[in-house]
Formats: sequence, structure tokens, C-alpha cells
Amino acid sequence: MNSIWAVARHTFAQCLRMKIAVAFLLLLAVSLAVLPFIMKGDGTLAGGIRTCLSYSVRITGVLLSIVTVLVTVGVVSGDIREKHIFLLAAKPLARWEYMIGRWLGVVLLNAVLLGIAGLSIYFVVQHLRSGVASSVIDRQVVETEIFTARNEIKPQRPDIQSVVEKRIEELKKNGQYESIVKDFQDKNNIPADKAQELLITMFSQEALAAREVAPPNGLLTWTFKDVDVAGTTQQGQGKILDMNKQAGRYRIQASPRLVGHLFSQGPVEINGIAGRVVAIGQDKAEGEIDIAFDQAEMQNAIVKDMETGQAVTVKVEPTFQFKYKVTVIGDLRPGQSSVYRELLFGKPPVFRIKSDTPIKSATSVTVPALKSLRTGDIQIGYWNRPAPLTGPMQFYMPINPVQISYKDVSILYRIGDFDANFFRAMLLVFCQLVFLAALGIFFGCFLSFPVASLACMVLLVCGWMMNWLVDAVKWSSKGGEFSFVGASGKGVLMLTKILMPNLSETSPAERLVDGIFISWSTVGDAAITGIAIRAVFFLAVGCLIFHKRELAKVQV
Amino acid sequence: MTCSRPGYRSGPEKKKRMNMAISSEYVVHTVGLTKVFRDFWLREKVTAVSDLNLEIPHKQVFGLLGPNGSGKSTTLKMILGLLFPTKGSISIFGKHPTNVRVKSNIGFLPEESYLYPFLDARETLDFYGRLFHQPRQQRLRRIDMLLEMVGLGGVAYRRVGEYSKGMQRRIGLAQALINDPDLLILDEPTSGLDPLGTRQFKDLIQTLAERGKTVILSSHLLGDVEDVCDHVCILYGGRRRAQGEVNDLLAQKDLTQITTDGLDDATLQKVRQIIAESGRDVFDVTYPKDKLETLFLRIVEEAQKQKLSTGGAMAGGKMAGFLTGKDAPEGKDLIEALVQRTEQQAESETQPTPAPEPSKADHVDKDVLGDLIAGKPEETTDTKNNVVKKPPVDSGPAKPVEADRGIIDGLLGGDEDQNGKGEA
Repeated sequence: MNSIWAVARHTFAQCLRMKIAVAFLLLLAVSLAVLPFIMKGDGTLAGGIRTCLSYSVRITGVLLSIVTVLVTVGVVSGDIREKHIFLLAAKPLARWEYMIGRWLGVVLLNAVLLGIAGLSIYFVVQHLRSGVASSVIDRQVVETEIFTARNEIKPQRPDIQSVVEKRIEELKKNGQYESIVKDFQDKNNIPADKAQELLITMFSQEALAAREVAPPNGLLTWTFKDVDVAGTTQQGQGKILDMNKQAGRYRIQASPRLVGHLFSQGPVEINGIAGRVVAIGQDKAEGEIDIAFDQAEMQNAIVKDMETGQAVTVKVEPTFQFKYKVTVIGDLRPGQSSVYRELLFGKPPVFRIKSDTPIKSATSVTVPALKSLRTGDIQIGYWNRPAPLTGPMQFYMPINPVQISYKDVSILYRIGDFDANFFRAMLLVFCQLVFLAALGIFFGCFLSFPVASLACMVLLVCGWMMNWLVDAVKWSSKGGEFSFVGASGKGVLMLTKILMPNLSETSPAERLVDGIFISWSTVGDAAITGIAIRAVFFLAVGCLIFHKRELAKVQV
Repeated sequence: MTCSRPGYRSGPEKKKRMNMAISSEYVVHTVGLTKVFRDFWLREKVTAVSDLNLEIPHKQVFGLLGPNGSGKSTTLKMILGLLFPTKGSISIFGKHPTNVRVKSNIGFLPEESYLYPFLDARETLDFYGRLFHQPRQQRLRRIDMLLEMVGLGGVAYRRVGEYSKGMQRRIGLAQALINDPDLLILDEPTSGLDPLGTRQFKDLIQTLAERGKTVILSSHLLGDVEDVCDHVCILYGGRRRAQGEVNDLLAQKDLTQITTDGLDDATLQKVRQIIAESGRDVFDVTYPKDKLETLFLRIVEEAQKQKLSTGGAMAGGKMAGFLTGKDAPEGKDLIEALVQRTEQQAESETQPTPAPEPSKADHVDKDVLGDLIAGKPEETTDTKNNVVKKPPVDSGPAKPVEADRGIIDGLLGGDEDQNGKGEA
């Protein structure tokens, strides 16, 4: 162990002396300093923070990955090329100890560099968070969709298979099934079994479309199982700025971070008394809210005794976000970028949102988790209704059918802190780096620097583009006929999948930007698949090769 | 224990015979050692070593001689496990060359120093010392001693990459000695060393040999080998051409050389006559010349006495205590020594205090001044003998390190302390 530690220390010092750490930190510092200024996103505070978070986490991951690969390959192959290994081999240092020591040294370097990078990113985004939001919604997005860790629940999918089976049964009962299959067979010039397969696919698509497409005035509904929004209540201190006791109106100042969780007409508790948010921020300084109490609450002694300047406890009831993406079917009016709709929450609906919604891009709305929407199954409906006619425009406005895919619908609710989530995100990056260090050590122990670097970089890019590769191979073999390119593509993909963890899926940037919770099981999974299995495999095989090779033999 | 590699193709019987032959009686034992280098297509490219049998016993200074490409380095690399034999076997201390424990007893100086250029001398020695699991205190003490010994104490914090080749060789030598090895393998050790360093290196080997260490030396500098080795093997084309004791190999038993004080012509004539009467011929009568090496050492020695500054390596200091076998005690021994010393001190306190001796600085100044006035450089070579005879200057318990005197101390004259004592 002493020898391993000695080599690890030496590797760490070597990397520092080689100015690798300095170069990385300089690049990171430049990107962190420049990013917030040159990338404003959509001009909102949330957009700016998202852009900064996304780019900085990605840049850190990419830079450290490349540094890790080049350093690990460099230190091992460099020792052989420069013949430093001659001296090491004459010392009581087992070859496997040398390899593990080198690996550990780079892992140590990664831990330090990632720690510095992580802390820098964290403080930069927290600094941006304290900036002024462009609107109430902007602040709401910052607090409820970015600086949070949310659980994402997808709706229950309809049982398409049983619908299709039922339809086929009906057709068979009516004696139409055989003729339809025959028609299909003739039309497409395919055998009967293929025609049946095609028919089932078509029926499935039709059944799904019936549940994903809302005709004019139609309603789409989704059921979300086992939701548990309770327990995410936020609390903080505020101060009464102004009041109108007769009207039951109070103006309260609280931290913008707390106010960001409130929304107009949403519930709030002041000193334990339930009230309603009348107005947020808007024409006032950020962090100010107007609260209204109902008649019953106004009689409460606590409310009666409230005075201007008094400190109060502001308790924000839990909320959740409903996320969806609308695609309009048919022609749009020139310049149209949104459609009108009404969202219905609960069965029967206990909360409604009526407004325009953007099309073709994912959008989300924050909804108060009223008592019936906190736990258990929640039903949400999308009513494709026409906009209410106002003013002199008393003519009929035609509306289009809209499609909302199941995969684009979800509800999200806070189940953890941003800080802990960010820490786990960094751990995910660290798992990748630990694996890449083992990969570099493996190739570096038997290949020269350029060849080993190339091999590592190719695998690294494959890991980053794993999802794209899967799609590409699927697409290339869609025809159903055997092709050499398709078969070899599948082979290469299979090999890549075995050798490399899916780096595109374990990349935490997207989840951080969307405030999606990264569970310990996700980190554990990355640690097991990335480190425990693959890194150990590469290290073990590398040690075996290194043990068997002649170190003084010229390697090209 | 035998060494056999995948490339080893001898049959089981031959293998058995080899097992019998190899024992730990020898520090290094090779049987039928052959190394063939092949190209990418596994075609035989060159036979670097062919059927080499070596038996290097303990306590021997063994020279491996040969022209460039004769297979010396390849043999050493196989001994160290850096290359695997194509045929034959090697044992080192009776073990396989890749055995990690065996390496604890080996010190290796390759043909070039191959040091990490970004480390300084101290860090370099510290790193290699750590690989021997040396306790911190011992490691740091040895580093200090070695740096002083190789004359790099003054530039210990300069990066090795900035060192000259000779300085790199010196630090390379220091790393090879940090574990006080039982077997020292030196590949072209004097290449890049100045005559001073070469001299020091030869003295070092002599000291190690006196302590019963085994040294394998590969070189094509015949003078070096002749000076230090007691057994040589001459290789050519990967094959052994000659092997034996240096004195036996070099002795010319049909000639006689007589060295006397200077003779006048009349005496010479008489000698010639006597020799002629005994029926022998006199081939050559000459006056011996000083060696260039001696002259060079004398000049550098003078410069050092005058304390002329240099940005390079200084003359090596005294031999590191742990290499002379008289190192300061460590661990349990240290505690015992301390207890013993305390007792001695208690005893000495009852004795009358001796008259105060001149300080060390006084000795040095006096020494330098004396040299400058007298201008007798020969005296330095005598100081060694004086030192041994003189009583210690310090009345207190002598430091163990100071008590150790390497042979080179007097020869190189780089140690002020020693000179001071010599003058006292």
C-alpha cells in the first residue's frame, strides 16, 4: 500500500508540475467568467442561469475527461518511452502496484480539480440567482424549476394492446378481418404474416393517436400514479410593510427565494393562518407580496393583532409543475406561436389554468398542490377549447386539433435540495472520470502515446454519443434485410456498449438544468457500472498485460 | 528457483537440470541465457545474447566488458526483469528477476539516468526511498548523506531536468544507493562523469566491496573496469569470449617489472649487466610519469581549498555513513545507543574536563591559509593518514556519521572538517 501511495503522490505532483491543473483551471476560470456575459439565454434570469449551469457543467465534464485520458495515457506510456520505468522496475514495486498507483494519482487529481470546478460553478450560479428576475414567472422558474431537485412522474400509458386486440376481435366477429388482411397483402405485396404485423402496428398507432390528439373542443386526460407532493412545504421569515385591516390585505416583504415559490391566487400561510396571494412583485420590488385573508380568518386574533413592521413567518404550501409539449395539427395562422387551452387539475377539477400556451416547445406550469392534489393518483386534463371572445371580435375563431405525446407529459415536484443534487451531479461526473482514468491506464500500458490517446478518444466519443449510435444502428437496419454495414455496425455498437458506460445518459448537466432529482441509486448505478465493473476490468486486464510485457522492448 | 518465460523452449529434462544448477549460492546465475529480438512478423532480427552462462558469487566486483552492441545492457536488462530471455534462465539471489522482494536488495544505475526532470534532487531521492518503505527519519537522513556524498547538497532544490549530464549521473548513483543494496548493478556508470566523480565512484565501489557487497559493472571503459573489478567477463556478439580474475587475465608472467628510487647511469649499467648475465633481455627502462588523472585531481583539489565558487556539482563529500556500514543506529539500535551514550556521558562527567580545543572554523581557516602559504598540494594526500592517527577534536561523544571516514575523503579533500582535523 505504501508503494501504491508513493506512486499516487508522485503522479499527483507530476500532473501539477506539468501545468495540467493550471491549464484546466485557467480554461475553466475563463469559461466561468465569460459565460454569464456572452450567453444570456432568452434574456431572463432563469435562461441565463440555465445556460451558465449547462455549459459550465458540460465544459467541466468534457475538459476533465480529455485531461484524464491524456494524462493517464501520458504518464504510463511516457514512463516507458522515457525509460523511467527502468528505475521503477528495479525497485521493490510490483507492476500492478505501479499501475494502481498511477491510476489513483490521476483519480486524486480529478477529485481536486472537480472539487474546485464544482465549487466555482456552484458559487457562480448562486451569485446569478441573487440577480434581479425579469418577471414574477422568471423568479418562479428560477426557484421552482432550477434551484430544486424534482421527481419526475410520467403518466400511466393507455393499454393500447388490449384496445387493438378488442378491435381485431370485433373485426373477426364481423367477418371483415380476413378481407382487410388480404387487402393489405395485395396492396403491399407482402406475405400474410407480415400483413398482419403491419395491421397491428397501424391499429396501435391509431389507438395511441386517439389518446394523444385532442380535436377542437376535445379533452385529453392523463393519470399520474403514486404522486407524493406532501412534505415539500417551504418556510421563511417576512415583514409586514403595509396593511389594510378592513379589507384583510397585507403587504409582506420576504426573501425573493421564498416568494419565488408563490404564485398569484395560490395559497400561503402567515403565522399559521391560511391566506391567498393577491399579487407578487410585479410593480413592486422583488420579494414583496400582497396577501388577502378571507372573512373567517380576519376574525382570528393573530390576524387582528398584526402590525406594520411586525416579523411574520411565511409558509409556502407545496406546488408541482405540469410539463407538456403541444404540437398543432393542420395549418397555423401566419405568425401563430401559441394556442389557447384550459388545464384541469383533479377529478373533478379543483384548479384550472386558462391561457395561451406555446407550441412545439416544452412548457411547464406551476400548480398549487391543493389537498386533493398532494398524494395518490392525480388526473390532469387538457381542454383544447377556443379562446373566450372579447371586445368587438364576435366572429368564430377556428381552432386546430393538437397532439400531446405521452412521452412529452410529466409532472414534477420537489423532493430534495439543489445543493445535495449538485453534489450528486458532481459525483456522477467523478464516476465517469474514474472510469476514464482506468481506460487511459489500460491503453497506455501497451500502446504508444498517440495510438493509446486515439483509442481512448474514439471510445470516449462513442460513450458520449451512445444514444445517437443506438439510433443510427437501428435506423440502418430498419429495412429488415441483412447488410454487412448494418451487421458490423451492430457488432461495433455491442462492443462499445460492453466497454463503455453510456456517458450521454449519465451526464448530469441536463438534469441539473431542469432541476431533476439525481438519486443516490443513480450515482450508485454509475459507480457500479462505471467503476466497479468496467474500471476494475480495464485495470485488471491492463495489469496482466503490463506484468507480461517486456518493459525495455521498444514500443511504437 | 528457476526463471522461465513463455519464450523458454527447452525440454523438461533440461529444465530440471537447470533447476539443479541454479541456487542462491550465487547472487546472479544465468544458464544458457539467450535473447533474440524479433520484428513485427516474429522473424529473427538480431541475437543480442547467446547461450550465456554467468555465475556471480557474493562479494564480487564483476565487470561485464565488451564493445558497443555486445549484449552487456541486454544482459543487465534480463537480470533486472526488464527483458525476458528467449531461452535459458536467470536467478537473482535464487529468485526470479521479477520477484519484488529481491528488488529490495538491488541498486541499479542505468546507462542514462532516466530521472523525472520535474523533480528536484531531494524529491527524486525521496520518491525512490519511499518505494523501499523506508521510515521517514531514515529516508531523510540517507537523502542528506547521499546528497552530500555525490556533491549535490548545494543544488538539492534544483530540478533534475536542469542538471548537466554528469550531475544527473551523480543523482542517479545516489538513487541506486538509497537502499544500501547488497547487489549494485551499474551500466556504464562513469559515462558523463568528470574525473573527480569517476574517482569518487571507483572509491565507492571499493568501499562497497570491502563491506561484502556484490557489484556488477558494465562498461567499455577498460581503465575503470581494471581499477575496480576483481572478475571480468568479456562479451562479443552476445557471446562470452573470456572470463576470469582480472589479475590472472592481465598478468604477463614472462616479464618482470622493478620499481625503485631513481638510479644513476652507472647503477643502471650494473643492473643491465646482471640481467644480461642471467641470460635475460632488458626491453625498456623508463622514468614513470604522473597520470593525467592525478594531475587533474590535484588542480581541482587546490581550487576547492581556495573555496572558488562553482554552479555545478561540488566534489563529493564523505561517504554516506550507511554505505560504509557504520551508519548511525536506527530504531531499536538507536534507543540502545542513546541509553549507552547517556551512561557514557554520566561517566565522563565525573572525569576532569579536557582543555578546550580550537573551534572547527579555526581548523578550516588555518588549513586553507596553511595551504596557500605553503603551496604544497601533495600534503592533502597525506592528510588521510594523519586524520586516522589524530585523536578526535571533540571531547564529547563522537557523532557516528563523523566517525565514518570513506577512502575518498582524503583523496578529494572536499571535506573541510577533515582537513581541519588533519591540521590540528
